[in-house]
Amino acid sequence: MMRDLMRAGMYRMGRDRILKATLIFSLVYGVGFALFCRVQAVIEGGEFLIPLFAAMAAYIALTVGGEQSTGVMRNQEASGHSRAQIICSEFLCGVTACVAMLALFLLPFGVLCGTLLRGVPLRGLCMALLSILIGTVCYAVLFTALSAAIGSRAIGLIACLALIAGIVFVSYECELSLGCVEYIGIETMGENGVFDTEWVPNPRYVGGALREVFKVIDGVMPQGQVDGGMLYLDLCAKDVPLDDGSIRFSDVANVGFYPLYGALLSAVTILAGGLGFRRKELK
Amino acid sequence: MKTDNADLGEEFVLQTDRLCKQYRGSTALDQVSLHIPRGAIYGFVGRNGAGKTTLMRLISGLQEPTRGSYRLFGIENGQREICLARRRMGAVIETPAIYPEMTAGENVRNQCLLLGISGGEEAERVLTLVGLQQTGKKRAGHFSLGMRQRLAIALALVGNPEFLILDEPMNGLDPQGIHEMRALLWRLNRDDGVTILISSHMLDELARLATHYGFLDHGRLLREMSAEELRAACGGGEDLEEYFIQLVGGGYDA
Repeated sequence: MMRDLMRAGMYRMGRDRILKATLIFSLVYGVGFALFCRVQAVIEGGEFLIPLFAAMAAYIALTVGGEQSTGVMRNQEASGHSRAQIICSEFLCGVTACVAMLALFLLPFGVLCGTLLRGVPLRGLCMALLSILIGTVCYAVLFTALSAAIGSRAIGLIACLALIAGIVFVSYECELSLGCVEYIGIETMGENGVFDTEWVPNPRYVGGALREVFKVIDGVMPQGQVDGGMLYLDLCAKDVPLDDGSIRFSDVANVGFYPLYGALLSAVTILAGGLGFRRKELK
Repeated sequence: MKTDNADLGEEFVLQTDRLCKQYRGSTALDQVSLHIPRGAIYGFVGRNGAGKTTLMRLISGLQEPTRGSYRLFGIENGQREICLARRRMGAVIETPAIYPEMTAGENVRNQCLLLGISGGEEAERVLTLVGLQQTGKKRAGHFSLGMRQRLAIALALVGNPEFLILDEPMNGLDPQGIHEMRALLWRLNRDDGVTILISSHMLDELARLATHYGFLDHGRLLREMSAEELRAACGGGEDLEEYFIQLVGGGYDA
């Protein structure tokens, strides 16, 4: 029965104009991103993927919200499918669509930026792509759960975009704190005209156990996973040794844990979304 | 769907036992115990807000009852097999639930896939049944209300259901459409033995179709009776509207 739901879901996706539009956008934006990276000769950060995630949010909110607001989701229930099966098929379809968008976005990068990637070892490439993929899956799962809970196209879209903004903000704050130095040097001119440097603690710096918590939060946030993946790719491309102790590597220190974090966040979201959807009264 | 293991000995397709549905501070259904015999066309009569649609939504699994239970094809609502029982029914509840950006054929094909039926011939069959076989590539979003209603009924008919739940199916249909719909429901009931639960405010239309009636008011089932019993109660005639007004004590606003 789950297979029937998935087959119907794929059939609808094949006829969905919104999906076609977002796939075209992903490809065009991917070409633009790849050309920009090629001209700059640098692999840009994960913040460049935010418009792509906004497109994913729009697609999922409009599709899942639309299925509830137009009442077509009740046909699935009245056809003998359980709520758990329906929400699972929504999650799978959402993830499939978002991974397709990501693939179309990255395709031009692979074609046009081959020279940038030439020095990247296969392991580094796989780790980076896995992080970006996991971040995308997490985003897709979060958008689907939120849209299913709200059940309205417009409100779902606003909520998903607000979710991206919130995630980006948290990731930015985490990365800012993790990336800053512990002490700031303040130069003052002494009486003899010589500059003295006084080192004071940086208020943004977090250390100790809190630093580990920030790393986990950053790794659990899908934007943190994507940012980490892109940065890891950049560092691998420049053949920078990852254990040189530079503060910059704090962002990617947890890259090996990202699949675990992503799987955990996705599982929790699917569970919570599924439980909420079971109690929901469909239109 | 018609299945080999269908329990043909089951006397009632649907039975409810003191079914209740409460919302915050209001009772939509209050201890409703109704019985829909196999092969019946069960007319559900009640004024706006009486609880007709709520009951249909409960049976279709869109909502959970607050108290009470129901048995669909002999399977109680708490059992896991209730989902399988629902595959043997088709439902059109409230507004037509269709994908507006897809054509009629694509909507039906999607429903076929949901039920695990391979498409083409079934889509052709149900679209012909409701008179939408000529709509071609016109998207359902551009259909008139009557055409959408027909399409929703076509979706409910996919896979030859044994039990049809139709909430105001005549809404939006022109006189010709109402005539065709009545003929279709008759044919499904007589030729294919489909049991039909139908609610309508067009009581004269309902009186032409129904073999059994359930009268609902303020969430309570006032009376269940067969068409013969109604005829006897009306002194040989079958004035459903008059009977209903008397039953609820006036004020019918349909």
